[in-house]
Amino acid sequence: MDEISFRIFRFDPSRDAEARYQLYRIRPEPGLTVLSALVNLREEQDGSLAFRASCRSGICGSDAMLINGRARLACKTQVAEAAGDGTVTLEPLRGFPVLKDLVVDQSDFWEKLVRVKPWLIPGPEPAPERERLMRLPAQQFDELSRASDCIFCACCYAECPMEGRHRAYLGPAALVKAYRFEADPRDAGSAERRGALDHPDGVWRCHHVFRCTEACPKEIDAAWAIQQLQRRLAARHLRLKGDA
Amino acid sequence: MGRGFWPWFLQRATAVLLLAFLGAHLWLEHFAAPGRVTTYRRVAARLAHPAFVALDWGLLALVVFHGLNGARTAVLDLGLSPAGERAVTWLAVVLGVGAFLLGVDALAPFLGMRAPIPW
Ligand code: HEM
Ligand code: FES
Repeated sequence: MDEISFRIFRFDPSRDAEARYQLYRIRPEPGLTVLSALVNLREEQDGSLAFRASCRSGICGSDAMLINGRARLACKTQVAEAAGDGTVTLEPLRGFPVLKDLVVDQSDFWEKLVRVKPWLIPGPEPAPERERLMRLPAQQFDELSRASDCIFCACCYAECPMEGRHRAYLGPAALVKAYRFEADPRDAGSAERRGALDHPDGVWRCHHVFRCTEACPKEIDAAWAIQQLQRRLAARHLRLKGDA
Repeated sequence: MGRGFWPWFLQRATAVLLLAFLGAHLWLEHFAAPGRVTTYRRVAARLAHPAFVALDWGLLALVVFHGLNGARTAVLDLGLSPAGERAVTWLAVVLGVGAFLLGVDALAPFLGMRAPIPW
């Protein structure tokens, strides 16, 4: 393949007054991913380039960034595909404070996740004599797996226009996690999660733009999960089922 | 609770009702009596009929609520202070009630006429 350009966002808050873009030229091998290109660049051209990555295989979720303006995992993006017009532009995830170059501060993302109590809250059953088996029928397990594949890359936050406008919004990943437990028949934590979910900055802030679903590298239908939560809470408000 | 739910729910409920009311409105105004010339007398006579007025007032109420509630949502999405949110909500209420009363007042004079429906 011909030589192509990488146009990379550079910013070091301890040194730079403002961000700039730096151009690098590389000759990509077939099959080169954007992440491998970054590793090569750092090893061969510029040791000061900062980015985050770990597994290199779409599992850890640490190398999400804007690739030509869209939030994607660098390790799951082929350079040949991204370099349509000969240039690949790399920028940090939208909406997060930049720590350095392509590395952002995700504290806000983690804080929101914790707010929905993303763990199984069991009901008040009597303590079992030996161990408590909490089995789930295979079909229900498959249903929940749709929502539990999240790798916390935050691509959905960078793409969600509501997150872009209003940072207090819980956002897709936290709501997907909430759905994963709300839909689990073994979970009895709805009342504890309700304060965060049934709130103007909870499920009701979603306007069904579906950018989260589109962006998810694990193909989780985040907007669908949010709609399921809205539906459950609406039914409670309208007293269509259960206690309200 | 319900601070987020009710505006959200009513936006959707009014949207569904709008579909029905708009359909009825378009049908009655344009297709129910094809070929008829719309004269002042005919329109006035229609507006004397409570069912027409109920439809028009209902449509007005729905559009005003839906439009202002939607605009309020879009503004609140920007993230305002609690005082700012209250101000926007009250502005919407005042504008909405005002617009509705204006419309009610405009159609009301015909109501008592009891003329036969001219189609
Ligand atoms: C058949 C007629 C209509 C239907 C089915 C409809 C449906 C909807 C729905 C479902 C929403 C919620 C969208 C969301 O929150 O994501 C919405 C929002 C909105 N609608 Fe309507 N609508 C209709 C007519 C109107 C009219 C006539 C107006 C103006 C007077 C209007 C103004 C708005 C505004 C300002 C919003 C808020 C925008 C937003 O939330 O993103 N709509 N509409
Ligand atoms: S490096 Fe782990 S997801 Fe890309």
